[in-house]
Amino acid sequence: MLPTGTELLTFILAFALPCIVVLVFMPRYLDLLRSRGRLATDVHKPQQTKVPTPAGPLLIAAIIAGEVAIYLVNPSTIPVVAIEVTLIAGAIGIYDDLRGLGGIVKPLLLTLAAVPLLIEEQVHHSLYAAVLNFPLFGATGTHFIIFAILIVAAMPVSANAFNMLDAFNGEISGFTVLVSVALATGVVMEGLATPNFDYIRLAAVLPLAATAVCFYYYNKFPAKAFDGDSGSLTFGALYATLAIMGGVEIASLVALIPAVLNSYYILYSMRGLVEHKQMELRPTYLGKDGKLHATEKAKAPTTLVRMILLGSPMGEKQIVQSILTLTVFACALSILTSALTWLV
Amino acid sequence: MSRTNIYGLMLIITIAWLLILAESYLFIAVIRPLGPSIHIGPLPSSFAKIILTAGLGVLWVAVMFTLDILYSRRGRTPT
Repeated sequence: MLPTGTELLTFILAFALPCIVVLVFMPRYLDLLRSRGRLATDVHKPQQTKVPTPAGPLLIAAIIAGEVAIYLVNPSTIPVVAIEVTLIAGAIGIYDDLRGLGGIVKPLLLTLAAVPLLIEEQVHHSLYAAVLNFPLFGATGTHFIIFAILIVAAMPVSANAFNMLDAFNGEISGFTVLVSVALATGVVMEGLATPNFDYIRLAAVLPLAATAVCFYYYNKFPAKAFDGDSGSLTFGALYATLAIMGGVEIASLVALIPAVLNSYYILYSMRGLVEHKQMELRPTYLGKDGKLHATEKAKAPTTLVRMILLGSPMGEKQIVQSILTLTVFACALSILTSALTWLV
Repeated sequence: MSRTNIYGLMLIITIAWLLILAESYLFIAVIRPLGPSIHIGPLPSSFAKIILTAGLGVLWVAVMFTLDILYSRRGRTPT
């Protein structure tokens, strides 16, 4: 089934515009951050390196540019909701970058990102189906209230999972690229199995993928830019929103397993929601050999990186390669889950 | 890159995924059609459904933490 001309134009604009925004404006934006003294120390380098941060506001602008293009070609509530969620999560992230938010206040505020989804669904009744589609075993019945509660919970869970994984050069941008590809593949499979499927659900994913792909160029080792919480929280909240609107919640959750495990292990080992700055012991430390080592003390927080490093110190580049390898594996399982849900 | 560590974590991810599949079967095939209807029987079915669904979540989390303990014990260098 080939896309029509309008569909093709929508896909091209949804991918190309965010790329143009990031690639054209990022160098100037980074100069602006440098001139304002908005630099953060890259703590995993042997030499003291300062990196401009936060690049999040430009990433938010890039995503919005892509979603606006989709709306202009084909007016629909789907890109509107994506823009609203991006703005809400982005605003919370920018405030966190500038002033800092506590470990409990941040997830509570992030529940607000669910409001556009819930309100628009009440008005238009076409944004999402209040059912969960499980692989092999089919869908649940329609439960508006339970589904609404799950949507409200999904925003802070997903946004914080992305945020907690944002620790190394190229980690969050590479992770976002991979999971958004898995998400888009799931939506394509659903489209193949569903008559009269709205292709905008697929197009809406492209600005997230395009922004993350282009940002990877600046964020990869050695990083020229950090996204800040404004970037990672926006990526996470928008990912959850696109999964809900695409109807591929379970498969999207599977792609997030590395990030979800990372968050669970941190929450469990720290006995609650704690900001990075409040951790007394670091999960890893930079050795004299220039490599990162797992902290041996039992009270240190457990993270995915600490688990990777147990017994085998690594350089930062290798660590990110390991995390992205695990993400590719989880994304393959996610695509298999989508196939079991829609094609079997 | 330590391949053994990566394979160990891939195993944890696979178990997490299989648990999601198995628990979704339990949810759809066992918990969802649970009876008797509300107001009939000593325990409302809606209450039992919520408790059992929460139990599935607790089981998933418990298995993940057990795997973390086993993985960390294997990976830590003896001193």
